Amino acid sequence: MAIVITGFEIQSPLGSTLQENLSNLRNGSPCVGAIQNIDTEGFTMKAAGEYREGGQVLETPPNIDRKVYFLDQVLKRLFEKTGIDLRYDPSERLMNIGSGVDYIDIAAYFLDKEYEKPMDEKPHSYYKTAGQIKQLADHYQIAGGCNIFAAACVASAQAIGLSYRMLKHGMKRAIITGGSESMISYVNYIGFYLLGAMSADTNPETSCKPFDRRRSGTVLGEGTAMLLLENSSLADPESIIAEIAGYGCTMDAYAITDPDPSAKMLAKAIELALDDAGVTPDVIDCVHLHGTGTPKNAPAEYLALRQIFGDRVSELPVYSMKGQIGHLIGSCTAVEMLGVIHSIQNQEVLPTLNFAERDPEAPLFVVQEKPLSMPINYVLKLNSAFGGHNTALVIKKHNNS
Amino acid sequence: MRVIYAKYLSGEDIPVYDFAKKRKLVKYYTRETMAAIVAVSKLYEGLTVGQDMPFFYSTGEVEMLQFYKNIATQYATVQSEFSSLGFIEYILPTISPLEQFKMMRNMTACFVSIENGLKGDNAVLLSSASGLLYSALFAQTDGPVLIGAGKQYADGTVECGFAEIFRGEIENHPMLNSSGDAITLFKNSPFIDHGDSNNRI
Repeated sequence: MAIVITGFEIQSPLGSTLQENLSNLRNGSPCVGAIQNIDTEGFTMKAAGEYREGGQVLETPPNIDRKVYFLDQVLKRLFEKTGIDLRYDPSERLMNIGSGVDYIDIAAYFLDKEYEKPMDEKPHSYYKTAGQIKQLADHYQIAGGCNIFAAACVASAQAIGLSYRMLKHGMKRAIITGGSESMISYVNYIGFYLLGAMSADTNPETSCKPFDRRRSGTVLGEGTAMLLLENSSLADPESIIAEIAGYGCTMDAYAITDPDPSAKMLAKAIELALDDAGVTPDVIDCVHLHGTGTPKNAPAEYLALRQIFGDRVSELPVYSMKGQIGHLIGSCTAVEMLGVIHSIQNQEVLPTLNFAERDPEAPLFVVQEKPLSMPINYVLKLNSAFGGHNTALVIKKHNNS
Repeated sequence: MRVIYAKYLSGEDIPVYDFAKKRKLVKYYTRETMAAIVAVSKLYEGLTVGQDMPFFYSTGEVEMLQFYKNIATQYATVQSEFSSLGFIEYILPTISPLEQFKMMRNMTACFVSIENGLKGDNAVLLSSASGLLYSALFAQTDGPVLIGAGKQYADGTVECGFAEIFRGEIENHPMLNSSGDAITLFKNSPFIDHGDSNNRI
């Protein structure tokens, strides 16, 4: 019995359909640009990876919480493509999803003087994430449970991790899991800017440089990716995209703003995921890292890999999708599963966009310029979060025979 | 199973300085975090907290209305129309970076982990009792698991609950497949420790 991915749908800066996402991922088109969906006059940093349809940023009215809009579209397509509703009763459908902070249409809040209302009266311009997601779960008749994960950049990793564990422990469910996020609104974008993690490079296309010696910070992105996970014994063999073989999660308990520079607990998360998958480090073919483009992230990821893979770290190909689409925070693991699926299906590791100069403090083998073709059976996917959470997933190529 | 539950009313002092070991971090704490730090300290009073112990936390939705009210009220003193430039010029300087730590939903769990050196398996959820229980039930490592939940209301009232549990104690829990709020796990628990002198926890 294996835990298998049998459906994957996505809306991201790469595009509006799975095919468009895969195509733009492969051709390496930069998808971070000057923000278009909100007026950024006066902003110091104006770059983000906004959701695009046919190459154009989708602009939505300010009374729409974009992460909920994306989720609705993605769920609709996932149901259509996988026929979940034909194979599983509502009580057998469960959703574990990572997401982010609430959305406020601050202009409407101000113009409508909603700030003058009593505190116990919910403003019309304030959109609570949990309530909206639960409404969508009701709409799609996902009656077996709806759990929302909220640990920032590992929220969707933890959602996928629990989904994997539920199935591994024998729950007979169709689990819809992943993440949905958009922080590209006045209050949330500025809030993230104030945390000091954003790039100092104001040229949108080059602003996020994972692993590069000149990296100065990250850039926000937005989007949604949802996976259908099933027990292989209940799945249509033809629909199997890949297996989730192992999951590990740890906490640095070091500092709120910085990763533990020793990277011991990130290494421990990898060790736990490998143990869970029942494999040794030598079977891992490539690593899809968190790769935020922040100064402290790359050395921590390098040190963690060094502790697990030893000298092999210098020849183990690594990749980050954030140079191309930005950091999607609550949905980053789910959206970055696109890169993992690409590696497994096409047997190649893609180049990391904007990586040009190797950092002596993080001498990773970052693929450059063109995809690296190689046999890929196991991919290690790492993510970490502000606050000290570390996650590791082992994804395996499924043998249909 | 050891359970602790506390409720602090709006404006009521939460005695975080009596319990916090890392006092310099207190400036980052919401009332939910303060209540959590106090509750975990009381739960483990005189005991050693295992560093590898899994810790799962379910937070209530952070009520940011006071924050929005403050910035909009401030803005209204200088501008009558909303504009991006005005937002940057008049609102940005009034937002403390500390506020951002208070907006992030994983902060209470992270501060509890830092305070107690908890480095094991973990997750942060929004509200869900079911997700919290399943996370604990399927934690990767053996032994006790720490679970907690917090809820902060718009008026500043805070509820908080923590428990150290073993998987066998929750595998048939009635809220395992419910859509209920995680805080009710603790509020309604028959195992609440009422030994505290103020009879609240």
